[in-house]
Amino acid sequence: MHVDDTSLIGEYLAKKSSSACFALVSRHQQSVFGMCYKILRNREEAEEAAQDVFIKCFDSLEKLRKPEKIKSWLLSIAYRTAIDYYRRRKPAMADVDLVPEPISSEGENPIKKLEKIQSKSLLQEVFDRMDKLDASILNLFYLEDMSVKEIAETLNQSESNIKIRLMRSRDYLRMKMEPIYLKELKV
Amino acid sequence: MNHLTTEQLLTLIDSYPTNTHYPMAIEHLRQCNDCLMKFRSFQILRADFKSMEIPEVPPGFATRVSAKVRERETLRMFSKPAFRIFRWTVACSIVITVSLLIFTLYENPITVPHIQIPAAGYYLTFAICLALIFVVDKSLSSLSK
Repeated sequence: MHVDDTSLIGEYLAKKSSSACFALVSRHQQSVFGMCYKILRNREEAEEAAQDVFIKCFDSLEKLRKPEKIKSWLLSIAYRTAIDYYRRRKPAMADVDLVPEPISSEGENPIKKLEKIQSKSLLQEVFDRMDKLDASILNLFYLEDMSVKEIAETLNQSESNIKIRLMRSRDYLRMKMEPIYLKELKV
Repeated sequence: MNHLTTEQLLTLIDSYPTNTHYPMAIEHLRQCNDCLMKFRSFQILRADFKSMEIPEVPPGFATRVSAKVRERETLRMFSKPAFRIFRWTVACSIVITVSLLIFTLYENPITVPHIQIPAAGYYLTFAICLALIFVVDKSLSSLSK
């Protein structure tokens, strides 16, 4: 039976139920970890930051006015926490996990495969160098499928600012990627 | 012919293919290769972005976090005002019991036959009581940390 977030929060606040806590963490862990990872690009740091996010969340859960919006709330804490971690980071620390991305398209032409890997790693490289707010906006928009309004609420920004940043960052990424994409389109 | 703006293209992409509000934009794409290429680039970018890998959450993450939350919840309970009153009550009870025992020892020196306790001993007992309250309270509060 699917229990919604609001009931789980109610159960946790009323009984301090461990199972409700576990269910809430399990439900949102991937989004929170994903947000932290997109900013920090380091698994260990992202895990630590994600753990902090949940602890902060449960510490002040009773202050949450709209329990149905817990995901947005968690992601806003995740954004701030990850940014804090990023700023505190020692300069010598590795910024990027050097783990090759799996190739999903089996049986594809090896040259095409190689081009796809190159294109994805270039995209990753450009993305990593982007402003962290823009990167988070893109992350929420594409990976969490959030609307501009929801992103604005999550990141505590105005809707128009999110709209402009989203447009600019996508255009910036497209311009950087265009030589590869045009080649891909002409094949 | 005016090209489509980035904003128009992105609006089209975000709701494509359900978007029916921009028939003119779609018509333009059929005729303008530059805009079509830009449109297709945005489409590939979206697909690439959506397929960017995020590693899975480490195994046992939810269990570790729930354990930590439970631990913190217990600590919070210990530091609540109600528990502080309880702490002080326990500290005072222990101190009163100990001081009563000491006073009983003073009043009945039979139990310690060869030790003579001077009158100043009462002041000393009072000081010991204060110190005991402090020590007991500190040890109880350190239990909650």
